[in-house]
Amino acid sequence: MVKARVLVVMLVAIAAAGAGNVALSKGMQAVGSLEAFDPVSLWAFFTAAVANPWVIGGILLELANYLLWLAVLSWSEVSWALPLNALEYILVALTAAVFLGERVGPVRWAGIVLIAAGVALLYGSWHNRETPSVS
Amino acid sequence: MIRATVFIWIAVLASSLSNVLTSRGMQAMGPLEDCRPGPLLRYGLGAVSNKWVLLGLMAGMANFMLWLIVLSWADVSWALPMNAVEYAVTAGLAAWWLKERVAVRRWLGIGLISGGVACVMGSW
Repeated sequence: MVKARVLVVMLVAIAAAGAGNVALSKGMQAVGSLEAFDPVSLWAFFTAAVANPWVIGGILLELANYLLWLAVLSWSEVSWALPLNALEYILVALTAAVFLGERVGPVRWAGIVLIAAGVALLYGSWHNRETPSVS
Repeated sequence: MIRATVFIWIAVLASSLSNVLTSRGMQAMGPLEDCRPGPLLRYGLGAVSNKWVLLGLMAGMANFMLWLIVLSWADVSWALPMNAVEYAVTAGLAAWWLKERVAVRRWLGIGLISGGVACVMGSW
């Protein structure tokens, strides 16, 4: 498996997780905040949540993220793949800055530069597993 | 805050354990190659019923519950940057248990990324 292809699958997985979070948050805002913790209220809250189309969509996207992550782990070492998930912070910051017009402060920019440099180093440290399967 | 710090470390350990267990399971499954619907479905069902993958899922749930407990004691902005440690702990466990070759270049990459994540999360 070529590392570039694994990276593309990871980016799709990250995008699915991000979209899933947005959908879940949109759905839970429609459901309303949980105020009472007696069994009847809790039941009503969770049944309303899992019946909401945004929540259902969000759960499906999170599931897709998990299955894609399993595929990534079948191709690559976990010490290589896991830190690449930090690309999410770059994508979120850029999305917030470009599309939502949010102000990104200097500390967060510094963090983004560090993450980008680390990802570049890590990406180049790919090597094929010596033992293809430890069954 | 000692209590919260201890629980954060246990949570980080649980989530790192979840990563290596899942990785161990997917190594046993072998690389996914055939993406036609039938074989893909069979592979997927095999993966989610693999004992290591299931153990990984349980460790992940333990991490989630520990995290909820931590958040009931501490501020998110104080606790969140600690998640950056997970990459290094996972790499250490993977080098030791899964015999992954984590070279200097990879450790440096992980260090930069963890520092970057701590900056991003700490600036929230």
